[in-house]
Amino acid sequence: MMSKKEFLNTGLLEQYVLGLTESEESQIVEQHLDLYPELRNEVFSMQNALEEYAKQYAIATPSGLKSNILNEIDRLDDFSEGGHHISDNSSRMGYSWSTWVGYAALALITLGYFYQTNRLKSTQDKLEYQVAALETCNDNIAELEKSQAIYAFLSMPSTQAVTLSGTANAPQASSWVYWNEEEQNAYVNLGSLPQPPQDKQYQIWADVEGKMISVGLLDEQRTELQQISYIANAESLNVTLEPIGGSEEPTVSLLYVNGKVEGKG
Amino acid sequence: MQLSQQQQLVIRLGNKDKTVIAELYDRYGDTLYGIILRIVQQEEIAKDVLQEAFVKIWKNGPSYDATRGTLFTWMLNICRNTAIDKTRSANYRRRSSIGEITDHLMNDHNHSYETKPELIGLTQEVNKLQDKYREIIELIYFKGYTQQEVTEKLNLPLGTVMSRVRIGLRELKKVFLSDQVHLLLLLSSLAEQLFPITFLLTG
Repeated sequence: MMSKKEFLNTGLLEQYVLGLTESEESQIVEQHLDLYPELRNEVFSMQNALEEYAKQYAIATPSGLKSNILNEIDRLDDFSEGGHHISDNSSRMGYSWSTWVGYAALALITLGYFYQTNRLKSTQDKLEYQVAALETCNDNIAELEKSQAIYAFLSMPSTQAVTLSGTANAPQASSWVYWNEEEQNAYVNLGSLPQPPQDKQYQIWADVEGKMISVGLLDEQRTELQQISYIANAESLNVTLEPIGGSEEPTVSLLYVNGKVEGKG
Repeated sequence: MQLSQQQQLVIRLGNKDKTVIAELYDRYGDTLYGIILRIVQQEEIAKDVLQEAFVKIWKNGPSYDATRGTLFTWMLNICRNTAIDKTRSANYRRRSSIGEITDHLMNDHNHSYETKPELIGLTQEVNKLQDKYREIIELIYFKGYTQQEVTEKLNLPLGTVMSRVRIGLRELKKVFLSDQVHLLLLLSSLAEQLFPITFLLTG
């Protein structure tokens, strides 16, 4: 905060009077007006001087404009007390009994309106909360159903668990594939495959009569079972390391785990 | 205008007493219209602006803070901002000189502009204010120029503009407010601080 002299030297007071100050500057002025209340008189007297000055530029307003304005304001305010319309009789300054009744009624209506709006708002809030909770519930149910489906699949007698064992590239690694001919469905458990480098991802292939066919791209980040494609007559399942997005042909030198599929061959 | 009268108006405006609008229009309408016309330069637009401004004055009445400045200043700011907004909208063509409007109106005998007795004295007063101050105050206060825009229009450094604003307002105060009025204002506001309730009741 500045001393009164310093503050007056900034010229901010005059700018404030003329309406030139932005909100931060206005705040500074107001702080100093609080500090030096006698300066408020400066503000008022400067503004009064400007008002007197402005009057010399007064130009008579066009006829009809006044009633247009009064009519628009009348229309705006639906809460007008019955029959209490604006007239040109602007010398009235007192309040009549009916005016007070009108205001009381207005106050009651306004209170009632706000009360209702408030109740409505809190009801609305509750509803929104409940909808959100319900949606979460539905999400949870969907997840549950998915898990149940997978569990059911795993439990089927027709589901074959194929163990994929590590090769020279990763001797300790092993994965599992749940292969089901009847259901034409399959899932893979990544198991202990090592973390691939940033630019590579695992791809799984089925060996069908000597030809390697891709049955899925694996997401190393996912911990749950991942669904892959079932292909008939697969003799073995093989996981290789490929560039991100996969390859058309497997990079055989980067075979990590594989296993034989039992069955009709 | 006495302070108590102004307070009455403020209270009624804050209470959404519609009769106050007619009264404000009678007191200030011509003054505000004159300023608006100086900014927008066209009568049709000026009418719209005054109407919009009064509606805003009505709607925002309760938010007027009497400690921040005079009622007239508050209303003038609303009028001026509305007028300036109109000039910035598309399809608005500014006429270059203000002389066009005022000359036109001074020749129009339907307007009693020339013959208002209370104005004649004022015009003489204003002439006491030097042109260099009057020019800047008119650009800023009545036409809504920013100080930067003033430096460009008058080809003056910003420092000069700012100091002329300060001195101009001081001079304006001296010209328009006699010592007696000044003293009265001071006394009234002192009394107001000491006895606010009394003033409210006696109105």
